[in-house]
Amino acid sequence: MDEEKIPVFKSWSSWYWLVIGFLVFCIAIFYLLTKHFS
Amino acid sequence: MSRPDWIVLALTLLGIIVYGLYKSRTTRDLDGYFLSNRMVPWYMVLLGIMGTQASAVTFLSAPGQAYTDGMRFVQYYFGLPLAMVVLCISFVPVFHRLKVYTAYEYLEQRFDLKTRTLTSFLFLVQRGLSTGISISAPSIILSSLLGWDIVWTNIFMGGLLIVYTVSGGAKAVAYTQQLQMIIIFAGMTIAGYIVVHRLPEGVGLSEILHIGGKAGKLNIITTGFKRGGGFDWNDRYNLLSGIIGGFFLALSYFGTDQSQVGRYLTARSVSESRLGLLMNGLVKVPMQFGILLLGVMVFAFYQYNREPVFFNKAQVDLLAHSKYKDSLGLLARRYEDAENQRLNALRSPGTAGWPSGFVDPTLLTERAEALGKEKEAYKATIRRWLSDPAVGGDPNDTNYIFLRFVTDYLPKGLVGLLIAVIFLAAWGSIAATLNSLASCTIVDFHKRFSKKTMEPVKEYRLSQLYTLFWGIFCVMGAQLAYNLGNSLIEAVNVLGSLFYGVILGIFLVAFYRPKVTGWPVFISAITVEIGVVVLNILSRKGIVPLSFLWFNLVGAVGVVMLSEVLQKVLKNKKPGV
Repeated sequence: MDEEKIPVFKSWSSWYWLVIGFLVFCIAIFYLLTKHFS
Repeated sequence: MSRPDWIVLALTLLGIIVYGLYKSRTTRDLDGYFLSNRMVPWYMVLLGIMGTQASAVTFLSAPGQAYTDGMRFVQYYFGLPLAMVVLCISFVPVFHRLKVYTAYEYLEQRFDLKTRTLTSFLFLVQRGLSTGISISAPSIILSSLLGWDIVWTNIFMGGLLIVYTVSGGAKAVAYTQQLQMIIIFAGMTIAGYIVVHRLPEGVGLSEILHIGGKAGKLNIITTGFKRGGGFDWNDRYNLLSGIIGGFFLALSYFGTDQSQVGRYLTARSVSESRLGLLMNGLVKVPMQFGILLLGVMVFAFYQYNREPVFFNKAQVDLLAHSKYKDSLGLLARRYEDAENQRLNALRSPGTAGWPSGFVDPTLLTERAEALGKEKEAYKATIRRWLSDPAVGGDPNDTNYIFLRFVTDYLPKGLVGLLIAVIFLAAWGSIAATLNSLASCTIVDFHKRFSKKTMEPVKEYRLSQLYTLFWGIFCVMGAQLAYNLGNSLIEAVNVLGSLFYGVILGIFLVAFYRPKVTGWPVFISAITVEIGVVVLNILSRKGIVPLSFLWFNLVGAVGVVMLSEVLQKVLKNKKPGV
């Protein structure tokens, strides 16, 4: 089943880390926005 | 609404119906009707998932919520990307490998028939009831703001989509959701552009953030800890409740709610399902941030323009025919006077870095600040009068803020487009739900318990009839919800969080506790469900201070732990159970 081609990356783990990393990035940006404009 | 608005609205809605019918004209069997023959590419899975989750109230309420409470609501979505990852690892490969029509089918293969039937039944009850509210909530807002008849608004909101959903099933849902989401994004972007465009020259995004920040609207990240220390478990939106509570909510919604599972089961492969879900994990938080930012933009707009004393016109009319009639007239004149003076105070001196003739609204003069407080006092008085049982009004106008701005300030034609956006958001969500309710009814109940085998064409016809039945049921539910009022709406909204945790718990046991068998999980599910309902009652009475988001965690963890314990107890008593 998982022999199907994985788009862009070599493994699905890279995709998962991208999603988690982007969430962390968003939270960091939001934190900075909150601090800066409060 | 003006004639161009009506034309835009009618053409958009008609276009969607015709498009849905056209794209699904070849559907003739159960696989096509409920799973689009498993041929959908990842981007349609993504738009389908987003279109199903984003209801009309999402686009109506979220900007208003940012306007009143700030942007902290975005934290509610922080658990969603994590849930997408878990779904891709555990849920998606199993559902695809077993080629199931509904998520609950898997539970019979893993446990037994009674666990599958119980879980599917919980889904039908919860979804069947809450869909009526999904139709009713935006209908109430549109009918009170535009003066439309509520029965017809409910029929248009929940009834017209039945045409293409009954006819074309999942394929019609997928194709229309794709177009709906494009129109919705376009409409919201145009609305955002117009807000900025109508601000005084020189006031741009940076100034909007400055105004919003000083007014406490940019509270995007909040810790949930009280000033004196200690975590506030009653606080709905903070970093911890968003990540943990939001994770369990998103996992149960996307992993066990057939209206969502049905979207990614239509994908042509596991990869396409995964990609659709992961893309949802990437775009959902920024998208929600954008919608909330629109609310802050509208807030900045009203710093330079006259803000209505109450955004829901119908409620002001209600007061005008109540015992507060005379007081309202007096208050309205005073409010207008205070607003005029406030706007004049803003225009006079000018501040460095701000457009000429305007003072930075966050550096208000004492006079303007006092007028702002006076204005808030008038608004509070209106809310107090509406709360009077003799009036029986709705003191909360949060859901009306964005639409009131649209109807008051958007040009002709665009008002119609934004109203169409509300309808399309509702349709996308409701159509997917009707399709999933019908699939569970026929697959988990009718076909499962019927002793007769059916021809594919007969199965398809019967599925259409079930979709029609659920469509009529939900429109009638919407009318009932309207007649019973706000208390029922609130009760049914909590209904989701009462069931989701337990359903998720059953699936978590299925995936991660391979030694647990049918009876322990079945007994645990019923016991914990009763426990969650009791917890909700205690929470509403203020005995247990716990926000509803945590019910998902309690339900899921409760089922997993109790079924483990029961497995050991029952195994000791009755070998082989």
